[in-house]
Amino acid sequence: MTAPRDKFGRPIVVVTGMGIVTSLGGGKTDNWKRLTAGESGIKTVTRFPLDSLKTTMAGAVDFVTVDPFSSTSLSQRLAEIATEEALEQSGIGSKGDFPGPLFLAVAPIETEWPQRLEVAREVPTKDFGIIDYLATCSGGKFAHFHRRFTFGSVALNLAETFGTKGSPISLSTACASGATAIQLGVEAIRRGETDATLCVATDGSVNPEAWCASRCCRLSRPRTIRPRAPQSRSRRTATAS
Amino acid sequence: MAEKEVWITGVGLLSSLGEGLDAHWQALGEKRVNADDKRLAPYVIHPIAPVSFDAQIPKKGDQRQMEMWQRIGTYAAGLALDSAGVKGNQEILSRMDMIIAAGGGERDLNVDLAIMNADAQGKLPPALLNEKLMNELRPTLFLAQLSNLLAGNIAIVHGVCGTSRTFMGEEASSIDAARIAVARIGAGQSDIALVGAAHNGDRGDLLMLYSFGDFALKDQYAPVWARRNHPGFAIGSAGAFLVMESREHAEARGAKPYARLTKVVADLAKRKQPGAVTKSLQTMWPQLGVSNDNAVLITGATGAEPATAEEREFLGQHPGLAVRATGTTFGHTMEAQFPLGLALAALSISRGALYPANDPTGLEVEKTEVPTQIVVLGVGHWQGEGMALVEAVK
Repeated sequence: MTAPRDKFGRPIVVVTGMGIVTSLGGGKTDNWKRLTAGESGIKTVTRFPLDSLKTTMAGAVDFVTVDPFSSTSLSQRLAEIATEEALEQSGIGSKGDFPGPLFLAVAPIETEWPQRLEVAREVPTKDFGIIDYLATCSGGKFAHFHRRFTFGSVALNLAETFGTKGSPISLSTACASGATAIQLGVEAIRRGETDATLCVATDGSVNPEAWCASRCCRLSRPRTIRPRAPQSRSRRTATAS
Repeated sequence: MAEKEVWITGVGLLSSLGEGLDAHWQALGEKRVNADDKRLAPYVIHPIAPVSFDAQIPKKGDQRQMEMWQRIGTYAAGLALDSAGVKGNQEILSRMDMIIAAGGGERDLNVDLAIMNADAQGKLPPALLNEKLMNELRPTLFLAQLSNLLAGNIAIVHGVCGTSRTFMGEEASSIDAARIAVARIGAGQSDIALVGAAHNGDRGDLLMLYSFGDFALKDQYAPVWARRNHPGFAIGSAGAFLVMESREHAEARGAKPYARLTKVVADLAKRKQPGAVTKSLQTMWPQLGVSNDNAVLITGATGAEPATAEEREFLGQHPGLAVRATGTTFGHTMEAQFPLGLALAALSISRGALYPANDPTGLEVEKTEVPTQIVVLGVGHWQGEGMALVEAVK
């Protein structure tokens, strides 16, 4: 059977599965119900102390937990949940064997403060500098931080879990990352390289540093202004075949 | 539909050796290496060569709001546009696509160390962390930290304004950047693209991540192939950018190619299994279409283990190859590893020669014949593998 083609002769791309986790809830049904009921997922942050912070609201997902906590681990978990939902709806491939590549939009990744401080507390010298600190970083005790905080770590773990094919691509183009993931997926299908792609976008980065940094750039609003998410916390997964 | 031929028509290089193609060709010919084992001792790094950024980033205000890695990248991107003859050509730049491979930005180490010391001494209740972050993080620094701001700066400074995509993360990101650019141009989804990456190795904050995994080279510099008993990568500094375009597009504007970029393949080996990297490279090799086993291979082998040993195993199966390891000369330039290899391959093809070996172990051999096919190899220190075939234009 020949695949249906558009007027340019390219394979037509369709969405066969979607998954979503947001501050409103988990899954398409719950999100749709709350969205159409006019509910908002924006609320006062409880994830970390708000002392001396002017912005106090976010669309954080707090009903999903990861231990030990890091924004990166949460982002990964949210992506897993959304992907599972999308794959279940799509019925494509089999468990751990997705028949195509992964395109992942993911927030910037770096070692986070709880982990930095965990290492700092073990540095034997008082008033240490970077070289003393690096000596404590090495030796293998914190090797799991390398696995966690390499830029490609979320994509690597998702690719292993879902058995996507080839080299997964992580995208970091701020708010355009998700659109770029979908664009790369659509293009790959149109080129005939693959019949299906897994396009995922995830962001669980409500943490003090991202908070202060976005405040520095006036990306987020103080509470005197109508509650509003400082950054989009929405994520969706679309599988297309 | 037949795939379009993809040409490399522009190459921009800034590294620890200097700037521009002539300077690099000369330095490679002299086997020059610029390594520093003092500034971040015991770690060995390759700092960027002194350069006046004004030549490619004329506005001081633009330079000020960039961190070093972005200046390096924006500068090298400008060199690539110059060498392709499209600098300032608004008609072309306005539709030139861009795929950048980027890591994260540089941190203010003084702020970080003050916070970490305060905490270690029990003087940092959680509320104070917020306060310190609020007061001491600078907006300019935060902007400079975003991965996609290199692309943003290139768009602002050079006016590259087609689609813009930033692939994040270590070595694989730039292999994929080249792969996607070639696929898009080959399929007619793009006519011309700027592809590259930048890396600044003179960063204590960067060493943290690699120290966790004990990947960084310590104490003493050695060529990559001579690190068997003392493994690790010396972090390098480089901006490497390429202008890639379809043959038709290049010919229509009378552009001269450095080389043809025939194929790029990438993989994600399951490295938990020993030998996975060797197997991955064996699987990719036949996909390239190398016609002669006496070709040239430029590798970004890092010196970190076990990846380098597994790569060496693969190379041992192709004894006819004339191998060159960029890590010996430039250090490991992470996201820039693969574009640097592509740039040196295109440069060698265009000069009709391969630069001399620089390897006391004898793995690298001299080659006097004119190279017509050069394989570029990239193996990530932790994940990601890829290869490209760069050929002389027929």
